[in-house]
Amino acid sequence: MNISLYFLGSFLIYILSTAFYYGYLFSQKNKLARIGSATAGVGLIIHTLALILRTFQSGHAPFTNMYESLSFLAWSSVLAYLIVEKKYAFKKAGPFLMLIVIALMALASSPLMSSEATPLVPALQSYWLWLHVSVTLLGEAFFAVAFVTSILYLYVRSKDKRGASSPLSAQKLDFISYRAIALGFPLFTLGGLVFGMIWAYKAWGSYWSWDPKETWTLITWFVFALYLHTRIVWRWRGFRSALIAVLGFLTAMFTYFGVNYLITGLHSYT
Amino acid sequence: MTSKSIIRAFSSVKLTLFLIIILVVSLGIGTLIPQQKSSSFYHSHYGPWSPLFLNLQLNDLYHSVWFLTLLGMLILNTVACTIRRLSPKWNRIFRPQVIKEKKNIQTLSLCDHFISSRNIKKVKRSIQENLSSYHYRLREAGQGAKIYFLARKKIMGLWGPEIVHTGILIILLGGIVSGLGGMTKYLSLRPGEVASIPQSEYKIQLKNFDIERYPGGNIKDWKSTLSILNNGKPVLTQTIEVNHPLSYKGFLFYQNSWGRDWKNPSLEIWAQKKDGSSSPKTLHLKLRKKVELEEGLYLSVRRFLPDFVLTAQNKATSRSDQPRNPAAFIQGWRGNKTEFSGWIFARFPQMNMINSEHSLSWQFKLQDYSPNRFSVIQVSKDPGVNFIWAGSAVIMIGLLLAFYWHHREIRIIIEKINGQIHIWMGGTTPKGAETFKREFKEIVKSIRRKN
Repeated sequence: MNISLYFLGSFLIYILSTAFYYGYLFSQKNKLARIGSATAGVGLIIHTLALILRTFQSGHAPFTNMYESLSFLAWSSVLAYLIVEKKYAFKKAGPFLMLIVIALMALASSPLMSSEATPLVPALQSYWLWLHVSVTLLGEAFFAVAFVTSILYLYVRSKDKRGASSPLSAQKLDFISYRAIALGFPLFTLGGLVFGMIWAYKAWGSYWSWDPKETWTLITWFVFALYLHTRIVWRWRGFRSALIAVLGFLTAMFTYFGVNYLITGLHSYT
Repeated sequence: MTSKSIIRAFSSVKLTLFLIIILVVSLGIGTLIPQQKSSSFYHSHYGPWSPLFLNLQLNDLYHSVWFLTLLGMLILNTVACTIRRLSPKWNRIFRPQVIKEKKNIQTLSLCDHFISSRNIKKVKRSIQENLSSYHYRLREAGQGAKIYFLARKKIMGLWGPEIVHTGILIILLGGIVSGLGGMTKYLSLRPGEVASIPQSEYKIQLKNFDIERYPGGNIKDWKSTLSILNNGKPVLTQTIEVNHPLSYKGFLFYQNSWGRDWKNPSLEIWAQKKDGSSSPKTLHLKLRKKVELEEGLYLSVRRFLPDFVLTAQNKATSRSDQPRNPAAFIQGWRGNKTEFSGWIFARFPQMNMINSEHSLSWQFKLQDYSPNRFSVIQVSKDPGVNFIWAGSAVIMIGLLLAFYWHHREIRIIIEKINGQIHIWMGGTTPKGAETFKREFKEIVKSIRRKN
């Protein structure tokens, strides 16, 4: 079977899963949420197959161009979400996170992204490609979960202020954002900064070159460091924490996309 | 100013937040303005703003005095915060107070109170055994009718933030060491060429340089075979490629890039007599090497230009290093007398401009040309790099401790009141309350069952 069919299959199953999650959101039937996460799990398995086949077909890690890397980020986001959902028994972020996943999958399948597997340029021929990119994107996927729960927090808070009741607990949303960042931050530090420095040292002869992507990774890291410091030292909770988490994810996304298209540097492998 | 007041001034978290925000903004600005370009670049791109940019050192922001000062402030801030928290944390970890007031238990989110009818010694032993089986370390106070316990585990978790900050300081220290003691040089070497390794008595020779291509023609890898020479004798020979540098005595040799050198290309010139009286010849030539064309007539190539163009002053020069319009200046002579000379063009043979004393009896074509390749080897020495790896490991350990090694504490008061044994138990943990809640309930349940 064609690899792109696996990719398309997982895309369609994610859409189905999103539909179930929205059904749950509007009907409040727990059964629909369970079906939603089970469907997402099936989608994740098929997506995993697609990534494995892609690796065998191309002979290299499945994240060396924008198409592959978007697909991998979508995969990581589903994985990160399912981990958080299982660990904290919280399904209400599902509909919104799956929407991000669908957007990533749609962007990956858009004709703008070449899905052709190209041979690796010399700089990318290293096992650090696996470690650096996969761990960084997994970290960013947890930031995506925190982004969704933080946006939901801001929504619930504005509703509460107007006196309308909401089925979501603001406190729980705040707590899950924090836990997702507690998972994402060490992963992002390890993959983005530590593995990045080791690879840069092996490939470029310098662990730090002030390359724009490096610098934006550091900026992202500082924003989440700000989140943690205000939370732990000043006991910030809720509104202000949620704002920093949202800003952190947007910074991470700028590091991921924006730097590639707006600023050139050592990381432009296209 | 006393050292205490200095530490207090630098240990404010407000300062931390302020520094982080300023740093983030500066880092961002640095990625928007191209760095380390010539001042004329800034003049042409930013016009009237360029003097301001240059005065603020925005052209080399990450090495500017003000940016390094900000980083220095962040280091001082981190050190001051750590020092300020050190002594209370030290006491909390190594000299904890055993809680003796019931209100310090009753106000905890996890607390319980129950009564046992067994004798106080047995109750005490059973509590000790129970907590030990959950790997708690116990501190005990009081005696007789009042016994106090402080049970704790995963105390290392409390050190998490300090360990992370220590790691960051180690990395910044490594950055300073790299900046002061590091060295990066680029050596352009043709195959066979020898160059001195900067700051050492060794030399390096490029034995061979290869370009590997994929079947489609894309570059697969660049490979340089290098020999380290000590007094002219090779001590180590190794082939390097991108991502696989050669390491020798603290020096690292990287495949940085490669280039074409048109100064001494290998040329192929096709020549034939115009009247067809001889069979065509293919001549392989290097610059200034002569070949005999016919009895007594010699030919050599004087110049080669990869991208021939005539300047306004009618001078031949090369517009670029790309072979867009390759041209060779050839000369033919007999004895001491030049018979003909002029340019021949690979792409436009009809444009050949050869001046001759007599009518030229030969025709020429510049048939092939290939440059000498040279390999650019980056030589680096970075004494700071081990600090970076050590600091990174320390940061990761610290993060894991801070996020996933939650310190747990159970406070217990056992008191004999009116012949009955009262037991108060309270649990406290900074984070990860869920798993601790479960454990606390299990412990209380099993102690209750036995007593």
